[in-house]
Amino acid sequence: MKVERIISIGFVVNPIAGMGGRVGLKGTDGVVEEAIRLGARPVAPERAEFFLKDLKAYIVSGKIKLVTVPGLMGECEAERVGIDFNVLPLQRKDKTIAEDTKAAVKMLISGKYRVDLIVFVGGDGTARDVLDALSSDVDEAIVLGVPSGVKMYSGVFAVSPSEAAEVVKAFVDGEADVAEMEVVDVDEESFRKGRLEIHLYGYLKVPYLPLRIQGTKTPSPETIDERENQKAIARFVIENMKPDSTYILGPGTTVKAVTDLLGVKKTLLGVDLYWNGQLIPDVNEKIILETVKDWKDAWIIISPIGGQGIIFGRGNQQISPEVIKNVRKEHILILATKNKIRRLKGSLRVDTGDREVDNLLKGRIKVITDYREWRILKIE
Amino acid sequence: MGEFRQARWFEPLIFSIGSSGRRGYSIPSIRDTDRSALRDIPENLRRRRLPDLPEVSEVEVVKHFTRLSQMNFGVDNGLYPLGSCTMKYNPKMNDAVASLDEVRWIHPFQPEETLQGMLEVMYKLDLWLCEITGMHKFSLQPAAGANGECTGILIIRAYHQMHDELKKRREIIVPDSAHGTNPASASMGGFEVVTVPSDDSGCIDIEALKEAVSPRTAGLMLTNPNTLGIFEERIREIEEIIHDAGGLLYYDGANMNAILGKARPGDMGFDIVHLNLHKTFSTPHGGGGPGAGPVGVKEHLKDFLPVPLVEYDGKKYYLNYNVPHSIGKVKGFYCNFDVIVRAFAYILTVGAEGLKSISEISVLNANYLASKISCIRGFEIPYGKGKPRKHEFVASCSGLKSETRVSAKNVAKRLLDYGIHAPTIYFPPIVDEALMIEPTESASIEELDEFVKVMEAISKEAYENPEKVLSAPHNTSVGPIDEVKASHPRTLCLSWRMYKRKFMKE
Ligand SMILES: Cc1ncc(COP(=O)(O)O)c(C=O)c1O
Repeated sequence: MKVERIISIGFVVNPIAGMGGRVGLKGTDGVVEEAIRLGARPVAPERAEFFLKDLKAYIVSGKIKLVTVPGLMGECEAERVGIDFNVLPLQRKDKTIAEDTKAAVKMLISGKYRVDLIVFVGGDGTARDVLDALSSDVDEAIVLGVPSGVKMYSGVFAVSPSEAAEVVKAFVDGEADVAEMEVVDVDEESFRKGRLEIHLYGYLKVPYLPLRIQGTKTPSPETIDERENQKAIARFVIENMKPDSTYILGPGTTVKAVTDLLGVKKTLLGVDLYWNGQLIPDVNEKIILETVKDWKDAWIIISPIGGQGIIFGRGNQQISPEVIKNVRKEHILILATKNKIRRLKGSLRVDTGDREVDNLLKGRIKVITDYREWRILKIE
Repeated sequence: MGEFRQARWFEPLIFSIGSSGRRGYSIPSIRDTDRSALRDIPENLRRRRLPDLPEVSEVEVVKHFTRLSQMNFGVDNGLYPLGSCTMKYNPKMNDAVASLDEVRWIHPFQPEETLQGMLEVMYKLDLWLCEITGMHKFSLQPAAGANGECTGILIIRAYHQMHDELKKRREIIVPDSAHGTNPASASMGGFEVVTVPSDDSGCIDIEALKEAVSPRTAGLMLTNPNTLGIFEERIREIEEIIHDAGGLLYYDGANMNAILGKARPGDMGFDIVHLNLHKTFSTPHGGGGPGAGPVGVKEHLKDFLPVPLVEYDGKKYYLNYNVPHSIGKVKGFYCNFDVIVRAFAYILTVGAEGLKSISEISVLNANYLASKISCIRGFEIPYGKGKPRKHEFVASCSGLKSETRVSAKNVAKRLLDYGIHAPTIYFPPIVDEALMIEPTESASIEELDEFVKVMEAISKEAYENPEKVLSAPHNTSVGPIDEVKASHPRTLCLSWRMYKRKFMKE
């Protein structure tokens, strides 16, 4: 007999998320006033309601207990949908800022509430705020994003509000696994000026139902499961690893799939060295240059970050131009799942800070996309 | 446009119909006849319990399947523009031929002398396919396109093995527009797959191809016209790049419908070809039923084909098992003969000129639709702007999706509401919100115009009342299903036995 437990869910809406999008502002950070002046209407509350409506049956039947935030940060939406909920003892505000999201998240994971799952409605910026607020609790908290931002490059979002409700239901029924997903964001200031600077901020634990998390984009029969794809890549990489070679491992979950299979613990956000079954965690440029003796047998294993396909120069600066020069292009193994490739829009990029090395890398390269599968991609 | 309404019977599974002991036809029990028939069956293979078969009367069976057939859709009751599948009309004449006693009552264990008719059909079809494709010998054995591909890959493997190069030649190159079975077949043959991107013109990116070839190249798999319906104009250059690198060229001829009598893969330099008789040559298909994916090769690869080959010595037809480097068998017995004989009848009835006009009309139909659909709000035809298409084209409704949330899947489902089968969606993978449309030569101009009208109506509806499209289909036997549940191992249910175990807790 399965014991039915009531699952508590903390629900946080960032009411201004996504407002910049329709009026072409590429984000809402710091430009709310302008967005409103341009005629932007809030989108997050409506999406929050869609989500809650689809979850209603589970709340009514008592499987889920909802804790939310005063005002437009969840309370109003829940009221309109007509469900039972508790409200955090926070002040109700008309104008909300990032700090409000953070305060709510902090309270939701505090001893008093300790919710089983945090669901937020927002975009990449909101995901970052949640990540910040969790700080040291990040390994325990489980989080799911309901997409409502302008930019949603992070892997923590479900495909749509109703898909998010499905994921939550599966989580409640004990049918979803938990997986780590990227939180990335592009710098909105430069994005508006047409430059793309993407940053990897960290990872959140997300309830994972293969086809329903944005990590896997459109749910279609063609979609392959992201995790399976990563594992298949890892297996292929390991089959081709050579003894006595040194591997410089870049950050991210794709490379982590390799170390998971090797049975060593990788630094998710950092660069590690791997040599004959041993791993030196979180190395910097200096340690890499000192440790690697024989560059002839050195390899770099990396995966592009987020949707922009940047392979060097973002979140992995430890693998410096000098390291890259020593390793040489032929010894760089790039790993990318098929979904990641779909989101790349055709090519990879480099921005090592060294023109010469960038030029060395440019041109075409074979990327590992699956077990025994490669794809020719351009590096620009 | 009239309202369409598909039959909707609340038809239970056949297992839930009938009752214990009910029969449509009674056969004598084995107990009443000769028990010695059981003697040769080993004890451990004998059933302890009777199989759990439905117990129904004849009339129940007839009603059940008639109702199911009314809820079905096929080339016989509507337009079926399912791209890459060539859902053309299958003339009844060919079924009549396949139903002749001489076809139905033959058995593969019969001696050759008594199978001369079957062998003649096979031999002549082989010759005709050689003529159509420019190859030198066909094996009719493979039972499907993918089976043919696998056969071709095994031939490539055997060829490199014979030249002592297999250890080195580990890679098969495929374009990113390839049908999914291509990389799958290459993997099945033990090769690594290298995917090469298409360029803006929708053709294989030649510069990337040059980077992809190396001493590790075993071969290239290519569809031409490709899955975007675009002819690879630089095929001679591609051929040189691969052959110069020591690789072989494999032609995925699943759809030959655009080039019958116009262009031949053999002349383009391909070494191996497979054809889907169940597409271009009008034999029924769908649902994994019997198909045929014959494989043809050039002279230098003849000795690798599966056994037996069908030959003629001037007096009689015979099965030739003496093929020195044969890869062996790829299917039981000789072929799916009921399919072979239909394709034979099809070619015979339309003739050489008929084949040419089939290609001409199918290309004309596709281009007519392409030009009409590219004018509909929310739709465009990406890649190779302005280039003519061949037998099919791929439209994208990513514009529609970003403006209205209505996706290719929704459009496809809404089409069902108008009595039109959905196009192929989300394929090829290089087109976002892809709708791959292949009207074939069977569609009349009236049907094509009707299709355009329906697409226009769906576009209008998407902008004005998206909910209606998003929740489609409404008029069909079965409404929208939960795709995740339908494919999740926990809820997926493929047989009655599974159903009982999962949901009836037996
Ligand atoms: C281009 C192409 N190649 C191969 C195949 C596989 O053929 P089959 O389904 O008979 O295995 C198809 C089928 O749709 C196809 O369109």
